Amino acid sequence: MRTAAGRAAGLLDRSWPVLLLLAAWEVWIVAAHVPPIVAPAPALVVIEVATNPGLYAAAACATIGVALAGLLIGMTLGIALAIAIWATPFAAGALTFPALLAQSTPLVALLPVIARLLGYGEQTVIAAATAITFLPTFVLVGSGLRALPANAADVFDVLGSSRLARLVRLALPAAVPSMLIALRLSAANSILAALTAEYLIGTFGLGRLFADAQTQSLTPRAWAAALVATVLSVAAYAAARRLAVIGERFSL
Amino acid sequence: MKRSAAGPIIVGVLVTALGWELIGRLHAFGSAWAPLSTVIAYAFTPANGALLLSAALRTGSEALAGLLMGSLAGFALASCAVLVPRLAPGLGTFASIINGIPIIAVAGVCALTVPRGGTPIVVATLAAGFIVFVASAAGLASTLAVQRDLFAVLGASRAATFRRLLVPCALPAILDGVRTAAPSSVVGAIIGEWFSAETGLGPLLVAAMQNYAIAQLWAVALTGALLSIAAYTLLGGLRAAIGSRFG
Repeated sequence: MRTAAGRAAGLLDRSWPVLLLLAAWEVWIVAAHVPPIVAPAPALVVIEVATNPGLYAAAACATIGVALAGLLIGMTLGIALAIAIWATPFAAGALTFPALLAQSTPLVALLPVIARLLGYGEQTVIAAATAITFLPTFVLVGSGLRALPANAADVFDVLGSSRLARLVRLALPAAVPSMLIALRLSAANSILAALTAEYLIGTFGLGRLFADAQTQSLTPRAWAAALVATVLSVAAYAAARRLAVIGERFSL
Repeated sequence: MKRSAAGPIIVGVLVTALGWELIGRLHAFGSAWAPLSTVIAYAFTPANGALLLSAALRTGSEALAGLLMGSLAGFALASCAVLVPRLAPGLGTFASIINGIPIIAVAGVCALTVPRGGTPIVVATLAAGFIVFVASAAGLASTLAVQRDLFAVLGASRAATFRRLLVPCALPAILDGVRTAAPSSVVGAIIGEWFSAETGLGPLLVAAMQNYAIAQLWAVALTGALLSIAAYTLLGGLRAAIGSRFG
């Protein structure tokens, strides 16, 4: 009984902001007399999702699918390129500017270019999620591969280990925490990038649902799509965080 | 050390410029990829240059306001989590919810509720705030047990420990966060403008997309990127100056 109470208190410690934000939303609607066409009350949005569960589930699955594909491709590319330039400081220096340029360029500006290249379909949405994932992975894993435990490199020197052994047995394990940080940063962002791309390119998924609802002035539907996307991205962040906690048990 | 580090970076700039030009000239990625020379020729036409400059100043000042407010809010939230440990898990949830709200939805709501011209600043604030919150939380947690024990033994109050130990120790990490957040605040300001503003880089992007003005599209994107890189580099200098004092 006590543990149940303790668990409930723990849950409240973690989730009070959800209640606070919902209350603030409701108060804003009532106090400022916001008409439903501008912004619906929380209850209206919940009813909207509850009456069309299939619509939102299908859209959410589509968005999760492309975001996950982008996350996987982006992390794989980022880790592969970080390994490729591992132990070559020249390549690392030479890639500083292109990496910074790519990170600083608004993705929304390049979407039309990507869309021309890959077509107005899911490939472009996956590319957007890939782009948002690739850079943090590349930068963080790149520095993680070099952040070795003290004296570890000396041990490998003394034992005369090959470069491959050094990579597989020393640098890659040392970079696992960086990979987990990259995952934590990218998990939520890949959902949001997929959503933005779906919205701008108009393919399918939650972004398309949001765009359609907006043009038809179906405000509760637009808010419901945004709410589902928010829940997905918070869940993705929490899942990545959970994985990082598990991963820390294996860190050096 | 500094001289040897500059070589690879210059090579990187040259290879990027050459690659950009060649991809455009050879139409490797289709006609939507403008060669660098075309983009530069567009930007250096006096009328276009003045347009880009005034738009960049507008977007830059919005991004700066957002970066300042986002940094203050992120640092304040992280400080609350440290000073009132009971609030820490909830504040983490709060930050991840704020980060999880799609910008396209935020911008849409702001366009209806925030006074004209405020949307880009709000979006830039949200974009920067989460990054600074995460960096500040990590920085404030980075003190050593020995240091905390010393403060405890000397009978320092929680406020004094925060001011004289935690904040100085966290400063490099916080500045890293602000630096990383700078490009995000520029992108946030542009997306905010996209939905509401009439001037700035965002509306220029929309106009370029709608008119299929490829050179303008790339010139505006490049201007935004250069704005971010300038902020990132300036903050890097500040970080180095403060890092040598506190690092």
